[in-house]
Amino acid sequence: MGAKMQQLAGIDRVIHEPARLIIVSLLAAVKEADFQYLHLATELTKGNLSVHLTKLEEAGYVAVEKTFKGKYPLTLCRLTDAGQQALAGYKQAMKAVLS
Amino acid sequence: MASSSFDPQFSDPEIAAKRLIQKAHNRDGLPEMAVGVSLLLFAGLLAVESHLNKGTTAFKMVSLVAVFAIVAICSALPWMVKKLRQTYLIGIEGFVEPKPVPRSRIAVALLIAFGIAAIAALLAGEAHFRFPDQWMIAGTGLFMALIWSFGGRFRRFVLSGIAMGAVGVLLSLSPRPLDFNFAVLFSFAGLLTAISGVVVLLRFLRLVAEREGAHGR
Repeated sequence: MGAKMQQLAGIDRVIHEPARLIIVSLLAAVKEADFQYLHLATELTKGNLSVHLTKLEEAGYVAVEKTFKGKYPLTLCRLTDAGQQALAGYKQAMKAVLS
Repeated sequence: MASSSFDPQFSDPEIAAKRLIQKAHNRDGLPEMAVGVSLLLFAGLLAVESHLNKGTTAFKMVSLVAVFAIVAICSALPWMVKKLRQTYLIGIEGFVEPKPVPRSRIAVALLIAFGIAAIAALLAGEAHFRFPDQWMIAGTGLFMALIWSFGGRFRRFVLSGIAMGAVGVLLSLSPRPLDFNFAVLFSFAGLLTAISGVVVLLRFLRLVAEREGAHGR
């Protein structure tokens, strides 16, 4: 039990927050997605999504690039290698704690 | 937030994410409309074929066109959907570049569905079918049902799939020629999916309009 509690204390808090976990999981399943797509898929408000994306970007888990597709401005987001590793580590840690 | 469709406490986040992406992929109905239109085109060619005498030049020409049409349509469909979305819907539904699905996984899924449909059709009609015509039409209906239901996974796909399978089995009892029965089966499946796609697109556009109205834009 003690070891599990220690593992739980060491959980990555950036990813552990449910909204950020949704964003990271979604980005893990695609090559890249833009802000509008994430807004509709996660059903988070635009402000909320923006705040969480900034936190994930600051942690180095998500790369954000502003670009154009035709005449439409896009804010493209993709999971970085660090983000992928963090998600894999988080899943492993949660499995170990809950098993 | 969609807590009912994404619950990290009780499900693997990766599985939940894939489900959300699949939901988003099908929310505008375009993939269904594309599949529906291609099935209707194919059904049209089969209907023309069924009215021609086998071995004639016209029959051979139509058969050749049918083969090329299927290959061309299957290759162009994903591109067409992507292009339509990028031209008309990108501002509404956003942009996503999915990870490519491994071809081996698609091949295995098709083989399993084919095997199950073939065995089911064989068992269902063992006593009654004039092998192989009736078996083929029932098997195709069941194959389409499995692919559509498990490929889409949402309720409307499962219901459409069940209807396709049922029509396939019903047509296997019909005394009409195989070409004609196939044309009916594909017409039914094409109409069903195209109509379902149009309804989903209209609902999606209405939902977006309502949402934007609520945000005062």
